[in-house]
Amino acid sequence: MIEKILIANRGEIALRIIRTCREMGIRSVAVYSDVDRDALHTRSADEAYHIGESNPQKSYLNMDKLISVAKEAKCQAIHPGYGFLAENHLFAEKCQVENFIFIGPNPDELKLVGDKIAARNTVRDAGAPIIPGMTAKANNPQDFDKATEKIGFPVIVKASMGGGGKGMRIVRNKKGLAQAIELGRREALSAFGDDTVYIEKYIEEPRHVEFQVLADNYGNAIHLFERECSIQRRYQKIIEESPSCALDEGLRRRMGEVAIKIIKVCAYTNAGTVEFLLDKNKDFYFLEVNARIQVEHPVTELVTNVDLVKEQIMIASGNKLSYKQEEMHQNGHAIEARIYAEDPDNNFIPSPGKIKYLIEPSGPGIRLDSGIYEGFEIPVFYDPLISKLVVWGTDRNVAISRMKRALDEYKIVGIKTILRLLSSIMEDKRFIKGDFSTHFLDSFEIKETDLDEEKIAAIAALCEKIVSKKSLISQEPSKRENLWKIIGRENALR
Amino acid sequence: MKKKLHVNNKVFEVEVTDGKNGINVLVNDNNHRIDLSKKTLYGFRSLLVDGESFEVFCEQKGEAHFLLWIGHNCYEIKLGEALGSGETKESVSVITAPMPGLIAKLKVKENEMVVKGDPILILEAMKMQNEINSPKNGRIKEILIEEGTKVGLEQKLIILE
Repeated sequence: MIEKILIANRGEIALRIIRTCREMGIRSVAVYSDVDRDALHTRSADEAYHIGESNPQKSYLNMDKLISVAKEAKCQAIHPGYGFLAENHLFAEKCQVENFIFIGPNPDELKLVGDKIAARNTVRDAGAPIIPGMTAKANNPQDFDKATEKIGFPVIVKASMGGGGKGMRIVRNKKGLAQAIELGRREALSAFGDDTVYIEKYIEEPRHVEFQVLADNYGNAIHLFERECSIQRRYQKIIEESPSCALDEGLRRRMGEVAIKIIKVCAYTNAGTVEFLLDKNKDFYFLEVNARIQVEHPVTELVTNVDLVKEQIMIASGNKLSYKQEEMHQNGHAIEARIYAEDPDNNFIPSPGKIKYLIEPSGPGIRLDSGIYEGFEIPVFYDPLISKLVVWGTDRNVAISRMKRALDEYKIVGIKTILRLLSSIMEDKRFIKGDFSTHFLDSFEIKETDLDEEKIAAIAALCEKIVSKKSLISQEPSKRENLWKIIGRENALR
Repeated sequence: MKKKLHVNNKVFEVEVTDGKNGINVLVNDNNHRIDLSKKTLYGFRSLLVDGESFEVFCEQKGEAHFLLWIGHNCYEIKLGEALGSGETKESVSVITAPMPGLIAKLKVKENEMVVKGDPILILEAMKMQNEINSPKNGRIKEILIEEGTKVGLEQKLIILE
């Protein structure tokens, strides 16, 4: 029986796990780096332990330190969240050796699905569709040429141990192949410590559709339908939804069956995601298995009413699945928008810094999984994802209008965020129609603000007058930072 | 008194009067009436401009220089001296670090000519390689950092002319 869980993560996902722990009566243990002493996850858990310097290598990725804290705090289990050590089979193995339950798949399963070439092989042998291309490691440069000749250009070079778009390169003709392989290798080596790359047919303008699965230790597996994640930037998902408007009932059933088949042939357990690419002819191909709770899991939770983190804990505790496939239904429509601290006007450069003021959306159908609060300083060391806004509506149109409304309510001052980009997408005709591919954002332009310029200038003029007047009121330059306080004082003098 | 105000580099002629009829602002000779609330909500103040409702947050950056946050837009406001002198004055510009990080790669050499949008350097921060592009056409006058330098927020990196 699990009574206490160490959460080997930070930010919104650590908070997400803490919440389920609390609902299940399980004590939660947070870990934090130097810079995260005041982070929300540190403050929200029942216990929190310092694990090292801000650089993730010295804290959230430090396996030995995490294990020793788990021992000290007398935890029975470790939840890795996503990112950091979530799909690291060495960490899962260490947990096992030290007698901690790793809330996720077993080390062998992680190893298999983490190796793209091996996973492709296994999936192909099970008779599931894979993207045409290599299923074995290249022994010499000729192997790449042979594979390319067989499938034809364009092709994509991918890192076998990779993810997140790193090491990936599209090649449209023979001339660029050797260089792409070389660059891909180098990038893969620096990002994943392994320079194995392989070649796949490049699918033009695909949609990214993935299936959420749950599998227990007794051979039972179910899927919780799909998530559409085609709205991406540099292979980073920005908007996800469920259901996908690209699937009809027949296709959904077929893809779901293939997802289960893949999970079973990989002997996979716990929560996972089977990713597919769907081409223009509605043919689908296996892409990879994500062996973790995913960032976009809330959209599935909202349409299926299943708490995926709870199921993860139940499965890891040795319970059988709580649901049967026939009990699973998709109810309504859910959309998630990821709020990144990035400047959309400046090449999406990350924008760490202090949250000066914050207004969060609420009202019907809103779920906000956030890792920030007013006064919190977003550190430079970690991912710029600061929160996820998730909405539910009776159908896709209702959900889109609700998302637009909620995004407009959301106000974050002090750092740059992509709220404006997200809000623009909700008004885009192609997005609303459901007519898009993973290239949607390549040519997307943020809608210019429709605020009246003259009124803005009028507001600015008034503010300027108050700013310039303040020298009459306060002689102390240190008190200049908040204009509104000055107005308050002015009002008092009136 | 009429003043010139730069709103995101666009110039407006403005005049504020605060009298019996409330606050009135002339913008390029069009009058706008503003009702300013006395209370703040999470630091935001409600302004009704000709009846239209705005939630506004104001952040001072310097003498006669501030940021106005309205909706998801952030406007840079500066008090202008005279009209039309904005562009030509800035013959020399400094590229500063938009965030703390590590100079992962330098893509230019001193005296190199660049055009607006050309990649200047790669700044590594928040797990990402961020390309810093040239804000204008010009010549790289001076490089103040090298590959591997750790830089702080708004540290000067490159001088461009």
